[in-house]
Amino acid sequence: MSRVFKLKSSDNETFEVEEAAALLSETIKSSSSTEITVPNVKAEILGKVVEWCNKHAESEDTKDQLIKEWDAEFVSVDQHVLFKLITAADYLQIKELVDQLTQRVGDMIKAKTLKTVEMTYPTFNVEREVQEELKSLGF
Amino acid sequence: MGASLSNLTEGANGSGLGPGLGDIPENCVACVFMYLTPPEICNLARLNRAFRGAASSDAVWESKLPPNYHGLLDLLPPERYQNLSKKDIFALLSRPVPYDDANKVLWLDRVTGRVCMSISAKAMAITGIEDRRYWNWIPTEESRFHVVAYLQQIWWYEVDGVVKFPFPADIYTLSFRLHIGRFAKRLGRRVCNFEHTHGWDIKPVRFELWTPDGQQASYECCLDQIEHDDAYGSHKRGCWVDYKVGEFIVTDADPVTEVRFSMKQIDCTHSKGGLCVDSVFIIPSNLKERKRKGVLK
Repeated sequence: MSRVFKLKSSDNETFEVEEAAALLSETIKSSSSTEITVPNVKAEILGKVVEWCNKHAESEDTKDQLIKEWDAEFVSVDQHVLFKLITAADYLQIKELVDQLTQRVGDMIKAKTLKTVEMTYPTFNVEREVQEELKSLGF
Repeated sequence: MGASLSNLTEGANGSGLGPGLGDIPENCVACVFMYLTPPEICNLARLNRAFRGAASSDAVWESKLPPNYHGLLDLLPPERYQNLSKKDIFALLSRPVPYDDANKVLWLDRVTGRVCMSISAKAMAITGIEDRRYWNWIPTEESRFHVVAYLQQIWWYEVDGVVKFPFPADIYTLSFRLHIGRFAKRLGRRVCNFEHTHGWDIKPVRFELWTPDGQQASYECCLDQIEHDDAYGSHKRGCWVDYKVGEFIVTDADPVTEVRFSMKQIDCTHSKGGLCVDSVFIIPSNLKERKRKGVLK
């Protein structure tokens, strides 16, 4: 008999989640209660996290092409929603969701910064560096 | 740069648009950094405390180092790398690390973390190198190794070398760095001297590489082609040219890779000369490709 968990958002909305989906969260897994309040996460965001968990609980093979497409759609949200989702997924410790969301952020950063990346290491003269290295080794 | 990135990082206290990247937990920022290159990470580290913290995270930098980086550290005296964070280890290895009596140098490419290597002519077996009628060593700042081998004249031209190293799994390109003619500084200007340059247009030179596991590549070309119009010929003279020999593959299964390489022109019916041999480069193939296309500097 599978347990049902109740997740409560910061604005007092409750989501019922089946055990298989709920246990994707390490936080829920290690909780002693089946009622968990998620602070600072509103219903809109918590609902999406629950949606992700439900989707991933029902598909056994996460390498399936269809679920990959679904995941890609899922993370294609406005950046502010994205950041809120990351905070929620991190609190709930859903590793795979955090990975997908942060990868999306990485892609967005690359797309914005490709023309403006600067090395913060000071530029150096290779020949001189090698010379110094050799000296420090006693050559 | 600041203008385009700051709207990613403005917090709730800023423009009221909602949480920014700076509001998400530091460990999540570290996750983001797993997907970025070292230069991108260092650039973002300046933005705020969470970024700075994540940008120093050992987990992030360990993922940028090659899997066998401990083997690379073994080339250095332990006091150089003891107690260093993974970020500092990356910085250390991304500067040229000399080994084998400083006849070889290796470094990590700063963007991809892949291993690159340069092998001096001093580490190679050059036929006739001890005879000053044929070869001379010329000190120069134009070489990482501060010296190049200059050929005046010889009939049997052969340069051989070997490297045994735990290269991380990758596809590597091996090339010879050569300079037709001799060069010097006169009154602050670089001048080239082709008085000994001859014979390279008669028959091609053969470059070759091979590994004990059966990989082999070769390339033949005439180094100097004066029959062609001057523009083509002069393009190759008087500057350092990388002659690509070919590629070899290292798989995860190889603890140590051995690569032998050579450059030969042993047709003794004609002599050849007027050539500088600096080094052999071993660079991951995609890296070489990206540099060539001007994507990377």
